[in-house]
This record gives sequence, C-alpha cells and structure tokens, in this order.
Amino acid sequence: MPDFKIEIRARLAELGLSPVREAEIVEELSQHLEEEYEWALSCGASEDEARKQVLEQLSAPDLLGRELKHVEQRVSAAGVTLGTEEKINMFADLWQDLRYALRTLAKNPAFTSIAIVAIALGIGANTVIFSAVNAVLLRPLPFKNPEQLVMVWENATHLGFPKNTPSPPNFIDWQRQNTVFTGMAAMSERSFNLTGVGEPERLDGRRVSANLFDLLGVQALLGRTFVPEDDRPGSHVVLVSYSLWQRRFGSDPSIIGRVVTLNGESYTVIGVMPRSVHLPAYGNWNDKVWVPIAFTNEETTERGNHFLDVIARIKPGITLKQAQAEMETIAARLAKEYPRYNTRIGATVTPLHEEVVGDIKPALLILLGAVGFVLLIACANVANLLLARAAVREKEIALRLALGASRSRLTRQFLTESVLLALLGGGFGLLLALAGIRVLKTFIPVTISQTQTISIDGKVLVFTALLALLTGIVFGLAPAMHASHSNLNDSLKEGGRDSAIGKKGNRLRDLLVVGEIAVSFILLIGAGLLINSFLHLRNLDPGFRADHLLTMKVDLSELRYPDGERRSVFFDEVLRRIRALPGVQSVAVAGNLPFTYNGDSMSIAVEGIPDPPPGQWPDVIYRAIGPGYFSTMGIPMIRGRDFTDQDKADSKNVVVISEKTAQHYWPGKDPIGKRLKPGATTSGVPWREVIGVVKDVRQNDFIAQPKMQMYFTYRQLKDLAANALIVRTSVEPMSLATSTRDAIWAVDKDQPVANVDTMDHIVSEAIARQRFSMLLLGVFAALALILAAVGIYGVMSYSVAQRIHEIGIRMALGARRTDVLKMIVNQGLKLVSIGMMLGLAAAFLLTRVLQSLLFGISATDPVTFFGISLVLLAVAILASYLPALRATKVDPIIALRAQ
Amino acid sequence: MALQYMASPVPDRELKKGSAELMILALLESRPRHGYEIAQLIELRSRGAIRFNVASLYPLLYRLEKRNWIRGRWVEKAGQRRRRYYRLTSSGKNVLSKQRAGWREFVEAINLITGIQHA
Repeated sequence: MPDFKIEIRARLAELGLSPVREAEIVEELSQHLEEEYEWALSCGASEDEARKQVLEQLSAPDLLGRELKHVEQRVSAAGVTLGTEEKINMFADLWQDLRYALRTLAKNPAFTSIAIVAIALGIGANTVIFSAVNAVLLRPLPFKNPEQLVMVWENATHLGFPKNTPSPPNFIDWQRQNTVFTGMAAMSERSFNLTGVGEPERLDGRRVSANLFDLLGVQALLGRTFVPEDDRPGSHVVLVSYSLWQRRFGSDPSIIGRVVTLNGESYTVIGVMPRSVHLPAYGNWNDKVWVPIAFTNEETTERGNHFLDVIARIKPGITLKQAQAEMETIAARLAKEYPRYNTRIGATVTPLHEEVVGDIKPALLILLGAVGFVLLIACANVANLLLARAAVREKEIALRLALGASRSRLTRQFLTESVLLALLGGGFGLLLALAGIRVLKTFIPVTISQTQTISIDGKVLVFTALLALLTGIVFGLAPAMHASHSNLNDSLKEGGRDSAIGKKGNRLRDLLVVGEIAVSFILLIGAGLLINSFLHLRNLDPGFRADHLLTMKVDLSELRYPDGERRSVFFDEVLRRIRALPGVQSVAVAGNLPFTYNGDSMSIAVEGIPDPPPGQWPDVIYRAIGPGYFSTMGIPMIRGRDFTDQDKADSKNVVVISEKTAQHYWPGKDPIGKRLKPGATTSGVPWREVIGVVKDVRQNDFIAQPKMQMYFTYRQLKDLAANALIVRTSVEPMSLATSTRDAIWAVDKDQPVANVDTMDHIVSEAIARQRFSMLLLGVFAALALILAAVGIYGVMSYSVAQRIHEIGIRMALGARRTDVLKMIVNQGLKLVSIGMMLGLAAAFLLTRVLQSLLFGISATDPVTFFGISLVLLAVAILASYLPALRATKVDPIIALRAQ
Repeated sequence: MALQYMASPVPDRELKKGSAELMILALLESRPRHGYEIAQLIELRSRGAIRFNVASLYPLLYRLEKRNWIRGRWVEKAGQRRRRYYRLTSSGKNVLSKQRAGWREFVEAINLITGIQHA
C-alpha cells in the first residue's frame, strides 16, 4: 500500500497547523485514500493504476490547502511542543493546560464533585462571614468623612458606667470649652404618639441639636434640616424619616409644610431625611422623627440629669488621643467647679463607628477566623484527594517526564488543575453564600446596625475570587511539587507499588490528616465552649417568670393624661376590660420592661444614714409600675406587701425595694417601715416608706449581676409615667394580642399600642448575640468535623486499598479479622491522637480570644475540653472503622492475586 | 457523466456549495457516518452523477463542523482502526430543515419556469 500520508502532509505544510490537528487530518484523509485504493484494486485496476487514480484527487496542486485554509487555524509561529521550556508559549501552554485540566476533571466526576463540594463549603462559609464583616465592620458609615466622627461620654467608671450619658449643662460646657472639635451635637431618644392620620402609632424619635445633620454631613431628601433658630423651646418643627414618609404619607412630595399631631401637639414637617440615617441606639430603637432638642431652662441647669448622647467631629489634624486628652482636662475643670455632680466624672471619646458596630466586632472576627479554619480543612481534604490521585497518575507523569517534559512544566500543569478546581468550587461557594446570607440575616441580632446591608458587593466578590485562587495554590502546590519529583525508574517499572511517590505521598497525607484533626479540634472546642456558655445563660434566672407573658408599650400622651389621676382612670378601665378577656389570668401596669431600656437610675438618700461624699453615690434602678405587677411578672415578694389601689397621690408615699437594695442599706435588718428618697437628704423631695422587698430582677442586662432596684407606684408619680402593660395568660400569649389592643382602643381610640411582644421573646432577644455566635460557630465546627471525618475516612480507605496485598498475606497466614480490624483502626487512631494533642495545645492558647464571649465558664473549661475530645475520638474511630471493616472482608486469595 | 464537485472553479459555485452542504447534512440525519461512507453514499444515490473527492469533501466537513452543524468524533471498534464519525448537531438539524425547505421552493420555482414536471 502506498503511503498517502506523505502526499497529504506535503499539501498541508503551508497551512502551519498545530501538530495535533495536522496529524488528525492526515490520518483521516489517508484512510479515505487507502479505501479508494483498495476499491480500485478490487475493480481490477493494477497497483500502479490504482495509485494514480487515487492521487488524482490531490492533483490540483494547492486545492486541498486552499480549501482548508478557510477552515483551519494556523498556530503561532513557534508551534507547541509538549514539554519544552520555551517561554513564548506561556499562553498557548496555559490554554493547553486548561483544556487538559478540564478533560481530566471531566474524566473523574466523582473526584471532581467531592473536591468542588468541599471547596464550595469552605469558600461559601468564608464569603458569608466576610460579607457580614464587610457590611458591619469595613463599610464606612453613610456620613461625610465618617472617620472624623466620635461620640463623647461622661466617664463614671467608679459607678459602673465608663460611658455614661452626659447631662445638658456638662454638654454645653464641653461645647464651649473644647478646641478639638469642629462641632458637637447632642441627641436624646424620645417617643412620639402620632395621631390624626389613620391608626394612632407610637414612633421612635429623637430630640437633636440643630447642628447634628450638618455635623454628620447629611442633607434632607426633601425640604431642609434644622437651623439654629429652630433650636429654642416652643419650636414645633419636625423632620421625618424616609420610611415613615413612604409608609404613612404615601411618599407625598408636598409633605413639607404639612402639620402633624405628635403627642397631642402640632408640628410642621420641614424635611424628609434620606434612607441611610441610622444613629447609634440602644436596643432596636429606630428613629422615625427628629425634633430640635431645644433644652428647657430646667434642663440646662440640672447637672445631675444624664440623658444625652453626644456626637462630635474631630478637627482635621487632631488625633483621637489629643481629643481624649483635652476632654479629660475639661472634665477635671468641671469636677472642680461642680464637685456635687462632677467629682470623679471624666470624659471618654470613642469613634462613632465603634459605637454603631457595638460589641459584635470580636464575635465577627472570631467567626472569620473559624471559617478560615474550615477552609483550611477543606483544602487539606482536597490536597489529600489530589495526592491520592497523583499516585494513580504516577505512570502518566513518569512517561511525560521521560518524553522530555520539564518538572516545572508539570508543576504548572498540576497547579492549573488545582486552581481550576478551586475556581469552580469558588463559583459554587458563591451560590451557597447567596443562600447563606439570607439565612444569616434571619438570625443576626437586629440590634446590630448595618446588618440589613449585608450583601455580595464588589469587595466581597474580589475577596471570594482571591480566596479561591489562593485556595487552589495552597492545596495544589504540595501534590504538584510532589508529583513532579517522582523517580522515573521506579514509577515506570511494572507493578511498582511501593514507589517513591507512594511512600512520600502517604507521609504527606498522614500529615494533612493530623493537621485537619488539630484544626477541627480547635473549632470544636470553641463551639463547645460557646454552647456550654449559652446553656449557662439560658439557665440564668432573670428574677421573673418569662413564660405566658404578653407585653406591650402604651405611652400615654402628656397632653391628654398630664397627671397620675387621669392616667389611673385610663389604666383602671383598660385593666378592667382586659381582665375580663378569656385566657387572661392577671394584668398590670408596668414601666420600662426588662432588657428593653438601659436607663432610669438615680442616687437616693436613706433616713438615718449620712449622705456619701460626692462621687460615691451608688445608683439605684427605678421603675414605675402599678399594683399586681409583681404577681403578674412572677417576681417573688420576700417581705411586706405589694402596692394596692389605695396607694394614691394623696396617701402616704411608698416604695418597694429589691433584695440587694435592702442588703446594701439595711444589712441584717428588716427594711419595712424605713424611709428613703431620691437625691440628697437635703432635697425637698418627700420621704418614701419601704413597704415591701422583692427578689432581684435582671433589668438592663441579662448577663451582668442585678443592680440595686426600687419600684414606685405610677399613681404617686408626677413626671414619670408607666408606659407598658403586662398580661399573664393561660393560653399562647400572642393569641390575645388583638383582643387586648381592642380593649385599649375601646377606652381611647387614639391611644397608640406598640411593641406587642411576648416576654419569652424579649428574653431571647437579650441573648441574641450570644445565640448568634454560638449557632454560627456551632455550624462551622460541625462542618469542620464532617470534613475532618471525610478526610480520615479517605486516608484510611486509601491506605487499606494500598495494603490489600499485605492484608491478604496476613489473613492467609492466619490473622483473624479482629486483628486486621485492630491494626487498621490503630493506624487511624495514631494519626487522630497526634492531631488531637496538637489541637489541644493550640486550643488552650487560641480559645482565650473567646473569653469575652463566654459566660459562666472559663476558656479552658475542663468539662468542655474532655467532652469534645470524646466526640472527636468517637467520630475518628468510626471514620477509620468503616475502611477497616472492609479490609476484613478481603478474600485472601483475591487479595494475593491482585498484584 | 460525473459531475466533479469543486474540482475546478465553476460559475455556479455557490449554488453547488449550498447543495453539497445540504446533501451532507441530509446524509447524517439518520445516523453518524465517516467521510468515506459519505462520499460513497453521495456517489451511489446520485447514480454516479455527483462525486466528491478528498480535497473538496473534507474541507467542507471541517467547515460544517466549525459552524457546529455537525460534530466529528474518533470512534474505535473492535478489530478496526479508529475512524472519525460525523453526526448532526441540533443546530445542524435546524439548518437542514431550513435548507431543505429553501431548496424545495427553489426547485419548484425552476420547474414552474422551465416547465419540467415531476414524474
């Protein structure tokens, strides 16, 4: 048979095709010509005739070339030669590597999908947490030059308030005397009852200095913000929030100049603020309206009345430290000038961003570290898979090396494969993250601002892409280096089972598993500590019975109900109606509910005890409540009696105190009948007689020890109104929400009812941050445990497969199944125990960062350490037991034959 | 007489090229075939009136492959050397049905003008 290939190749020469493509065309066309040749022979032609006849087809000298030129692609001048080191071919190489990698990955769908899932989980978790870190910690506040904004506090550390809200006179003095701020503005939370437009509604709002929005650099969306002339008593202008404008005023552009009724008074709307205005707040306070702060004459003189939040903008060039130093100097001066109120009161300057972010920062950073660990474990798993595969591909690698591929070229090929894998995993991880963010948003505490802006933006995308790239390099480098250093001779020998790659690869794989165990141990310990701490928290006695309690805010308008008498008439009727509802056991008037408010404390004078010197007055938390409050809340009465309807404005002034207050002022004595009063002994305020002692209640903070407390009946108070109702029910509390609200509206149809909630929910919100950290770290630790288990399982399975021959011999020589089982499990346990020891040492050091998040246990809690060790050990034993079990099922004959 | 496709430049080159594409697509409609088989079938079914040679058939196949109308794949069968089989892709199927309709209209138009009747 004549060789047609030479003829065809000659006609293709000028096209400059890639060698691979050219070979394909030559093969296909020569086949065709050979068949025509055979056909011609079978028709009776001589060999010579047949050859001529066939070659005639190629006779028009450039026809084939000309036709193909339109179709085929010329490759670069240098051409691609596999395994050469020519640098010009970087891109051709990369392209080739990529296609090769894709083909290899596609050929091993099981390996590829396992690897991609592991990476996707790791990268997805990282993306979710990074997007939260990005939104909460990294994204600047939506104000002008936000890094210059600070909050200024009174420092009353000796009273337990390192960041106390300043009083108006102190604020005014700070404002006048400082030289470090371009401006200083005060604000104070205040709620408003909006009436006259549809359903009455209670609105969160604030009184603010006229310069606040200028200071922040925020312009009104519609109309204007405040001007200095607005900031005087009697001014009735209001700014409304974007959401209120949309919801209650239908985004009416002509709202400017409209008069609305707030707390029974008329206010003129002068502006609508943009959506982005979120000022730091306690709890889930969410501003809907702003009015000028317009200090009253009394306010500007009451130095002991602390209720302001102060924002300031540091002058360019001044540091936070300088600002802090000057504020301390001013505070020291004021302490000298007004010793009665300002002794030992300093000043604290904190960045506004820190205040807005709150104490979630350590939790987020710890979580970011945790997901980093999860990714490391995922990387170790994938590296393990790649190593195992490198051993399988040993012959291919050796062959390519023998054919002249350089080791660096092979390393690059392997890296391309792993980076491609990582990028695919990253892509899926991003999809997982989209879902993860949605889940995260449902249980991230609402009190953390900026959480609703958590999303995947450009920064997050870049983070994920870089992370995927880095991941690919990290888990690809070891196998790549390893594979390219294999010993040619050993690998090419037939049946070379214990080759260099195999042995070194095993060591590396073992090392990776040890690392995985160590890292997951750290994570598990961290999660264990948080879970344990959370259980401690859940078991804390808040001092009352939170179940079956319905609560709601009922802020009475000061205009409509200016005194205790009118308030009593209203509440008495409301209580009578609610009590009659089926499912209601009892109902009472309450003041600010536990965990919803961080204020209302005062210093008191006690009859028979001299007033302490300035700066040493302990604070007592006070609440205005109505009769029946203690029994409804389930707060045990230890001595004396509850308030009754007979404790009225014109009867004897009385007070109920907490156990702690009793012990502080009358240790070992019966406090009933003793007298105390707000302020100093010399103040003109009347004495109040102690009529009862109740158990301590956790009021402001679920975690801190309860502070001293006292309760007044709202009927005997002029300024302080009770503003909530609590209902103890025999049925599911929320099922009574509507009927209770209707009962209130039957008495006053304009009375706003807000924050209808259950006490159980309020308590659970109070520990939302702890639950958040615990849940997330728990999820990540579980993920780490699963990945580590998969890692151990993979390594043990691989090891069993490699030792099948040896196991066969052992069993042929009489080893029992239990011996084999023991041998394999022991091998796994050896790795696990080394990993656990390393992890234990690291956990001892690392879990200390958790200390600030823990409650009731130490960061080295032995119970947690021991319990988690058992869990990890059990999982590890299981993960090596399964492959071991398979090893015992080996038929010695088959195992020996399988060489 | 054998009509040598594209063996030499002819005035109605485009028309013929179009018809050659149609023939190949049509032949691949029922099952994948290799180049030699395609050439043989065309010759056989046209009773020797149309013949492709190697220099015109394969460039055409590669072009169709590049347009993603057909796809070639090396297939190994026991006891045989590997061969490249071409099959019709889904976009090839679309093109085939369009070209078929266009060709039918064209032939009908020619028939109307020249008065040739179907048998």
